[in-house]
Amino acid sequence: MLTRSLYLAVGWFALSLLATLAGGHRVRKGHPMLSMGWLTIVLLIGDVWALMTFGLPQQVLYATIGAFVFGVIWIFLLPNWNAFGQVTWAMTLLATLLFIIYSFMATAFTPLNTLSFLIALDFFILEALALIMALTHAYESLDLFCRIRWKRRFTSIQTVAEYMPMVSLHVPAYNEPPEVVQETLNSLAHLDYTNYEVLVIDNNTPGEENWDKIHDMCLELGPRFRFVHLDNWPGYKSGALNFALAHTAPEAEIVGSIDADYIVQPNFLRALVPAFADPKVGFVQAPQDYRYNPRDPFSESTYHGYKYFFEVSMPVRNEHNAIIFCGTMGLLRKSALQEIGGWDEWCITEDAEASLRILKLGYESYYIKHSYGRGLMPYTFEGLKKQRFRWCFGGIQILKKHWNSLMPWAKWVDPQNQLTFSQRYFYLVGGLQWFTDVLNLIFGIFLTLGAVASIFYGIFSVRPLTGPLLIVPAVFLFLHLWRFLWVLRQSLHLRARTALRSMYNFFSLGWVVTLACIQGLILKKGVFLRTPKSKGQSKMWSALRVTQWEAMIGLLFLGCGLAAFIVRPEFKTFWLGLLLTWQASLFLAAPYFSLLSVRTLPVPQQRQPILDRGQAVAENFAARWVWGGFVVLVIAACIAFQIPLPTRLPNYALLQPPTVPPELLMGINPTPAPVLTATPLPTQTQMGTLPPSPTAISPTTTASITAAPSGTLTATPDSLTPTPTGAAPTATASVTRSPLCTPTSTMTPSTTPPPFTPTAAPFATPSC
Amino acid sequence: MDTRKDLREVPAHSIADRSIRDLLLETEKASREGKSQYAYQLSVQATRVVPESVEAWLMRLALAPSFEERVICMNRLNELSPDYRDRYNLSYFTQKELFDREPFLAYQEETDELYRVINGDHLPVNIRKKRAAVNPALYEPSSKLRAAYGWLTMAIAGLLLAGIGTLIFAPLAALSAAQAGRHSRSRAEWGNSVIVLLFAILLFLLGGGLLFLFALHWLG
Repeated sequence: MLTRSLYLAVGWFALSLLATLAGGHRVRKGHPMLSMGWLTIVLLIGDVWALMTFGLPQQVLYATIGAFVFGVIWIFLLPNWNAFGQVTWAMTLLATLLFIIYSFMATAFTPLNTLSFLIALDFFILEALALIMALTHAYESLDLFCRIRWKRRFTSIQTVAEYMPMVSLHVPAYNEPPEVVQETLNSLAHLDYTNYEVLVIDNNTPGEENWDKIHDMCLELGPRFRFVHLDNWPGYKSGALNFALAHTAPEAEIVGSIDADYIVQPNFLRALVPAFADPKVGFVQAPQDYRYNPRDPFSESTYHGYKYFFEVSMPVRNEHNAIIFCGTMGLLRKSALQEIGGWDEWCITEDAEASLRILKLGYESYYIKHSYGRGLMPYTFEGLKKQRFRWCFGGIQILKKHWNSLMPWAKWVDPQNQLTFSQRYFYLVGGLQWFTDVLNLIFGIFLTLGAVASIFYGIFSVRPLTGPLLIVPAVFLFLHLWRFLWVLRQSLHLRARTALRSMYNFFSLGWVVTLACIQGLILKKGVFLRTPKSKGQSKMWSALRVTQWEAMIGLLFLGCGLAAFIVRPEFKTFWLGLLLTWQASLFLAAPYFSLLSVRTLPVPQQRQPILDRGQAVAENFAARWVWGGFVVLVIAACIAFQIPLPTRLPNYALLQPPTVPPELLMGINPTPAPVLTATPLPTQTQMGTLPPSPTAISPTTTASITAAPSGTLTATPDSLTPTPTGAAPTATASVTRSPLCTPTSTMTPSTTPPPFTPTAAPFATPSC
Repeated sequence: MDTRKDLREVPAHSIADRSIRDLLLETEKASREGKSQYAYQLSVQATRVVPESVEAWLMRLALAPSFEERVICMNRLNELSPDYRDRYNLSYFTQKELFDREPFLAYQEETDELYRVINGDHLPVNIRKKRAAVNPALYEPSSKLRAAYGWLTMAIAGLLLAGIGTLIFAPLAALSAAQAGRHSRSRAEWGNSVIVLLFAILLFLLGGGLLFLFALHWLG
């Protein structure tokens, strides 16, 4: 029942998602009856497929009724989505839940030695977490494209007559090229708003000659512009911003922080300030936009990577009043900022952290989806890595500091916490989603272990490779990737090639995000990443050296995948190789983009953003945690190979979920297996290892990709050759097959304890 | 400095028996009548008689003839009461003038309410932060609750060892949480203790289940 229901749910999920992507998202009307109608259609189509192939009528009926009830619940829980979104979400959730249950059953009740079970269990936990992460991404995409009623979608704010409060714009600067700052200040001088001041706070720039030019610029621009140089000032950017807050004009009601490399449009303040006429509004954010060269593939893909957040995540979060304040191109109510105690100097993403504290006080936030200024992006991959490291590290810091406020029971614990459920969800998920890349790397390591095991041992006894564990994760992986690419294309209006490159640009930073997650969990204070440097080498070599770890990991994955297939050319090693190639491509994208970034010379005024905040963490040093984990896994796996497997069929194995041969899904009846009886105990079994069977791979998926190796204890036809040893038969396993049913096994009790008999039936299919 | 000279000119005993309130009223009256020098001298006296009076220092800040003295008054005001009500933004304008003259500030130290800096002329300046006191970087619960969190984290990590670690650490977490609950300093802390306790129990059950499965595999 479970296996068939899972296949059916995956079918419904695939069908509903494909229909949504094919055009269902365009439907702008919604009604529960319409949704239930669409749900019925999806379920019936799935049922027809099931009944024509693998399904048993009674089981299909039960599964359909269950799915219908589940779908109806979600139709009423998501009244602002169209039918396609509601049904897709319900089916995604159902398929994921069923797979997690199936995966647990397969993990828990497959006869394994204890260490293999331990590895399998850990793998299952990681797999479940990855699937939950994938669900959060899916929810975000569907919320954006299938929402038919938006309550808080703004592209502009209605002007309020005579409301023109004073605004204090803070421009923190550290070691900025004067010509870059000049552009920013000039743009601020031309704002079509009369009541504002600009405070340029230069913190810790060494050498008076470097900051004096900016001082002169401020003097030239008039009394509206003021300059202060802070020497030996603590707290990095937030320290400077906190000082600016102390020195803000007393009559200022609104403050804004503008990066020193932003060219702001004249109507920036006129467009955003009216939002503050509502005293409940704590902060307003407009998208951060960048100047980029569309002819430079690195610049273009990086730009789209940034834009994704402001085109997809922020509108969705805004609908739930859960946006984050991103610093530049945003405005805050000064009193709210003062109320929360200013910017947090401990957190290196002080802007996002401040927004959480403001929302916690019960203020509202607005996201205005219209670009009012453009800044500079890092022009090398190294700069991009450092920036992503900082963002991720800061995200983990926020999670560490505020996790207590984001829990479902937070309001009960602290009644002053005004965060709504949605706000808590989005802030919690926003922090946890960083760990997707960590999971991705771990799955890559598992895959590599599987490949190595298949090369040297020919078997990796972690988990049985039953149909669903092979097929369902592959379907998840394919569909989630397709959805991500589709969202990229639709939301950013990209061609397929550009979208693919942007996606790879996004994923190529997985390694640095992993490092930041680990460092963020371990270290208390803000740190920045120091990438490996090369001296006296060419730019190309430097670019490669900056991504040496990514290249090494990518090549390791690729090499292992190819080697496994070459040594044992089978379908399963082919599948393993394919997954490892995919994983490798994500890491090898890093040197590719690094080389791309140095291929194009930056325009003269571009600069590397200053991201060094805190103590430096050398990448080589930080990577040791990952390698430590890898070594532990390798040792555990090596020991697992040596520990004997169960020598007889345990009773708990009967609880394994039954398998449905994958051929049945296509309506092809599998070749019946021979009835095996009285199989003598093979010599190898007595030694505690099963006869060789192909390495089993169980891929799973996250928003990007996840895949994992697992092995099988299930004897396959290849490994079922009985090896007579002269031992008397003590158990009988009979295997019967029907066209619509997998082999059924019956354990015949005997007077003596039945020794383990490696037959397909008992392990794979206790019941049908 | 002018300040010291002014302080010498008006003997303190002449106003010693007068209340500070009267003195300030008289200062204000003199100032309104255009007797700025006299008003200034009265304000100096007021700050001498009651050096902790914010109003007196504010009055003196408003009347001080020299920029340096205004900076001194501002510093003193900020020291005395960082959240005083500066109706005419006198302190802000002094600060603004100071930074316009010399935009260099070197950090010395800070308190919850003030930055202590020196400017390019080595003049010490106290600057009000004008914001609520900042909470510690990370929430610091009581030591008992902190211990409970620590054990709970270990118990969660223990799930990776088929629940073996969980069965060891979850009871410790529960014990620490119960103790933390008894000695809680606030309602929030009590609430967190209860949550930890419940989670520890839940984890213990989960760990037990996983360990059962582990035992099944162990025993074959």
